[in-house]
Amino acid sequence: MTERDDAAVVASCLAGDVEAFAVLVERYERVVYNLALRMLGNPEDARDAAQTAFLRAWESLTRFDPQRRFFSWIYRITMNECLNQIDRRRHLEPVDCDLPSFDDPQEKVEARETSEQIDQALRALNPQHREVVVLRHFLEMSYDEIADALSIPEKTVKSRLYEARQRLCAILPRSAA
Amino acid sequence: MKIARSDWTLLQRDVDGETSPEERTALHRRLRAEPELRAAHERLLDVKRRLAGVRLVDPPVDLRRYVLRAVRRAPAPGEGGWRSWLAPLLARRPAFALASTLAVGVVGGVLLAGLLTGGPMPAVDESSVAGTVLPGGLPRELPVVDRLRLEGAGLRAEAHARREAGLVVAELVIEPPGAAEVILDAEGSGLRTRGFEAGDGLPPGGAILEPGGAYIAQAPPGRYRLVLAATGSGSGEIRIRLHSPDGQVDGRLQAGPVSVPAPSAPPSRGE
Repeated sequence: MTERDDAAVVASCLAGDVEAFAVLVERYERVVYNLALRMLGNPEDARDAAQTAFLRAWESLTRFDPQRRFFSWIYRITMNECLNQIDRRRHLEPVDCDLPSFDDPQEKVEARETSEQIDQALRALNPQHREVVVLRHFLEMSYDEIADALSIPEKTVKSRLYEARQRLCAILPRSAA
Repeated sequence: MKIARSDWTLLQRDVDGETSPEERTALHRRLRAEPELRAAHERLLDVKRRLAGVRLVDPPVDLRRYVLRAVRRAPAPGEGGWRSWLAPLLARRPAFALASTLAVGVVGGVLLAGLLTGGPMPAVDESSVAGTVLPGGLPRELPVVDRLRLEGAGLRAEAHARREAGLVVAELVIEPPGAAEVILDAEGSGLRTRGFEAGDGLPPGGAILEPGGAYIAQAPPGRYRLVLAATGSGSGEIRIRLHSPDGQVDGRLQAGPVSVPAPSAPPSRGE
């Protein structure tokens, strides 16, 4: 997968190939959904946000700059939708995330506990801090990619991430071990 | 913990592996000598480890299908008009979300009013719409104020707008044999969704209720009623779109202008 590939796919969409959009959805649905899930803390809201993000991307595909990463663009759209939802709700609902399957039941229980604790801690962060944590630690993006997605300097990315993790140190329950 | 900001930054860079060998040596010397700094370092490592342990979740299996189906029906990029009509309905609740809600025992539909509206509606008979629209439907038929015949794309349907004061029912009767994908759009009408009823039970694909309408992915022949209540000012117009494999047919029901005074300041709600 390359940025050129994405630009070519977008060009196909703009040339009238509606089915080409399926390529972009397939490529980015996982990160878009997980981004929304971690921002919103609720699978249903995450689905809503992901769907809306893709539809808005389609709607405004003519405004995509092929010189930029497609992910940065769809990221911005997704984040805007998440922030809109947060703003509309004014509060977040209890987390009920679906976790991936595990072979070991004990591992599953521990993973669920960890995930729920982290989701609760994330919800205590402001959206700016939350998004850098999600991008860096869950989506495993480089500082450069995050800076591009957020349209901020790398230095600011690090600064926000440091502040976020420092805050998490204060609010995330300590590991049992 | 009273750790200087510069030390926090140094610790962060260290757990990210970004310190130089000299910085790292100096820091680890300090960690041995300064318990508070060491505790902060260990805490930071623990947080980072736990964040790294969170696994990505697979998106819903039908997310892609849902998006693509909506995109195929949308105007080409840049043509506009999309959001004003289809997106508000398609982009939000998936059909199974409502279906699963309905499965807990609500045969007719789910009322969203408690969440969606808060203002006073003095002319509305709240007993008709409070809670859930039960299998028996509304306790009485409201007077018909508009009717509409929809034919085309292999579909035949009759639509009625029923109204009494601030309560409106958009009723759609799809005639055999065609099943349709149905959009009932009341955005901008001054009306908001209060409930939904499918006369013959829940459609196979469920239904999506939105504050401004409803979407039924696959509506077999039968009667469908969307219950709305006046919550603002607007035209009272409910747009109907029916899709079939052969095309689509559109219509507009006129329930009449709606005007509800702005509610007084609502009680504050805690976060």
